[in-house]
Amino acid sequence: MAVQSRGFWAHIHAPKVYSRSLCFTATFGLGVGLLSCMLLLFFTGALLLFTYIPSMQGAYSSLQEITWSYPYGHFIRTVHNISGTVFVILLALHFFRVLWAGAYGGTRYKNYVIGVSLMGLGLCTFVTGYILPMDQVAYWALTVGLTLLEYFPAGNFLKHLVLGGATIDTPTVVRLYFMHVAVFPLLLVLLSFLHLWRVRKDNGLYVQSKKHSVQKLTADPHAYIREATLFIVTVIAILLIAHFFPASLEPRAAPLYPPNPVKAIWLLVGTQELLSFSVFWGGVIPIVLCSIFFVFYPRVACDQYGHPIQSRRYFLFSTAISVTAIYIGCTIVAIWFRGPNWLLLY
Amino acid sequence: MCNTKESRRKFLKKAVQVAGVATGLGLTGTVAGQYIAFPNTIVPVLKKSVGMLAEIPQGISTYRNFQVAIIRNNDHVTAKSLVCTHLGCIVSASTKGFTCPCHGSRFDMQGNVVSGPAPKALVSLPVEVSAQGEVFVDIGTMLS
Repeated sequence: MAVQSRGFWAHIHAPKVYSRSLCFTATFGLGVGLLSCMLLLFFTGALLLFTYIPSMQGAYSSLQEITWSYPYGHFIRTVHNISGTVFVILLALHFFRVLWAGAYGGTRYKNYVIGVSLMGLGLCTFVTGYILPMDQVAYWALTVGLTLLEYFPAGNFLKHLVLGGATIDTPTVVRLYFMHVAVFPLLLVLLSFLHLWRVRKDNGLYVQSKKHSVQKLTADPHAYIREATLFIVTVIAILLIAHFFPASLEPRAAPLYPPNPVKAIWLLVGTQELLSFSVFWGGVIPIVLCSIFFVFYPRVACDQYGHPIQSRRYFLFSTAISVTAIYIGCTIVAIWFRGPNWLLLY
Repeated sequence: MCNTKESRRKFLKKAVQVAGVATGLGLTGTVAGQYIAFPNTIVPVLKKSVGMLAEIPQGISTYRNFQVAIIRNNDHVTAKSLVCTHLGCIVSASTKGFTCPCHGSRFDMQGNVVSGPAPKALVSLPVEVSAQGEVFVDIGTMLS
């Protein structure tokens, strides 16, 4: 066959890919799942941009209109909401898969750091989006989050960067809105492209080894068909979840009346439980230590050829699993065992 | 000789580039940071009237719009900020003291920590009783 000219998008893949990387268990399709979520988030987010009003009073009112008046409004908001949650969960799973595979050695360390940055950015986007409805849960999460920032270095600077005034008001909403719809998504897209480009640059998803055959297949159609399938499966799964679990809207923010108990959404309520022990030991220390550990440890977990040393690889993976297990434990306690005044129910 | 010269030139070029980029980013960052994170916290009136002393009941009474609790013990009046010293939620008052709904900190009648994650007592606010018996609380210390 004559050499065909390849379109712009075709350059995301090399013309030929390792057959091993096309096995489902190689990646569990987590990267493609994340991209699918991102596409859904951009589409539903763009729709919500038409109706959301970034102001202290307008935010909640527009959310009410989106939810109860606009045709398909509640569904679109729910899909955005669910895609965001699934995005964060897939981020964690993608991270675990990489840690288990030890896919951070040698030249791939660069892409690992880009991936960790993407994870941070994803969380930032998630958290800023969670605040935008300006309902009770959002308001008190923001109050707590802003005070929590003060405990970090340059915290006062960060706090005023978000706050934009003496108290939580329209300037705060505008800032969070701008970050959620412009700053973070732009960085996410840029870094995602860099992330995909580096996969190609690092010669695909696998380091060549003598143990396995290095059979290669053309990306068109072998990779495309799998990616398209994964995309469709992810979208259908999210639409189904959205159908059965419509997004809730708590009462309008009442700055002087926190509900008792006020609980964060389930994905973040573990943090609340940790903070109820201590801000320093439950908030600052875990965040700082985990960031440093997961960025720098993979660098020293590999030998001079960039292959992970087995014991260190296991150590890294089990640390990640332990941290997650503790977090899930805290989440369970916070959801089912905390009552008014955050007291234990049993 | 030639090599040394070349590597020196390379090094100087790199150094100038790095210094240039660092200065540029530093200056832009400082200007942008100062602009965005300006602590625009102007508080016009700091002293708030909470009513006449004679009308304030014994024990704790809360003035949520000022985020203040007035604690009256006979004719002795003190004021505590209702903002939790842990992470900034609004504590609620009971006959025993104060509790925070966010992370479960508990404070006694004087605002001292009884249990929970709060690192220090609720902030005391200056109280003034005028000659006419009107009680004023200075909420400025809370906002600064």
